[in-house]
Amino acid sequence: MDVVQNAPAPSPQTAARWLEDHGDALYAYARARVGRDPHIAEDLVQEALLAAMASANRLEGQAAERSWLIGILRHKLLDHLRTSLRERPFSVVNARGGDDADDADGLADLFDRRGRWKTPPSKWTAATTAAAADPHALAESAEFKDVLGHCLSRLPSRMAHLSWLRAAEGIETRELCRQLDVSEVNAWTLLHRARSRLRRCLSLHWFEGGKAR
Amino acid sequence: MSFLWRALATILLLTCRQAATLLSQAEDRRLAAHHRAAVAVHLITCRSCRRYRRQLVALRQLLALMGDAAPVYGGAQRLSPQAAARVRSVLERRAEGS
Repeated sequence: MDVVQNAPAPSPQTAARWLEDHGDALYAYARARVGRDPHIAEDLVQEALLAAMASANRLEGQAAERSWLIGILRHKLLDHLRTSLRERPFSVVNARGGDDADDADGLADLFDRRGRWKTPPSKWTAATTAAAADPHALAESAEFKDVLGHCLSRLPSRMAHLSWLRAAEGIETRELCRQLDVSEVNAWTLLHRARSRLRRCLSLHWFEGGKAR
Repeated sequence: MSFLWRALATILLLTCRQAATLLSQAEDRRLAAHHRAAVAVHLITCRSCRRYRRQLVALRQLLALMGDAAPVYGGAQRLSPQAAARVRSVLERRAEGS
């Protein structure tokens, strides 16, 4: 791969080719991370390409070019998530009671009043065989991706954003909180809710749904 | 002394709901010593929470492995022709303007 420094402004043809070659990949990347509204993902692709045109350094070669563009898109995406999380601030929730003292952690649907499991986690047969032994195989299964996508889409979008950034992008919680301007307590609460729901949804639709393999 | 009693009470009276919260937080930070002890004691006797912990770990591994192969939130994974045309015209205008 070649780094072209102080490159001249790209011609209209170059920008059009970026869109042609990488538009769908950029869109899919953004769409998977911003939730259901297709227009947000479209706008992010546009912003990223505009930023790429203005950039003084760029990479050449098909694969390098794509990861360079995705890197730019990722910055735009984080900006977007930061703004959208700030526009709708987290409600104040903490362990000593928040907006609802009986349900501070938002998990009243999972536990009874004495804090016991209403529906205890059931055994993940496929998890012990496939995920524990070979999570790679499971993560590459198209069917499993569909189920996970379905389960993510059922989370409120802020929860989905946070758990995605935390788990899939591997961003540390402290760094995530700094970038997104949320308190760590709120982030833990949201992440806990998100994990509980994802876990339960995967239990129902994959690990117990007769799809275990 | 009162700290010890509080710690002991936490350890003995921990509910599954509190244990689940702590197990999730343990994915994000190092827990305080009395919380670590409380969770450890709770896990000895609680099969459901042991299972919950294993599944949290599996969930983290799976999400991490998905990485860039992110599942899409339903709907198309491609730019619609209309959107592509709109972006193209914005890029052209910008290129002419510079």
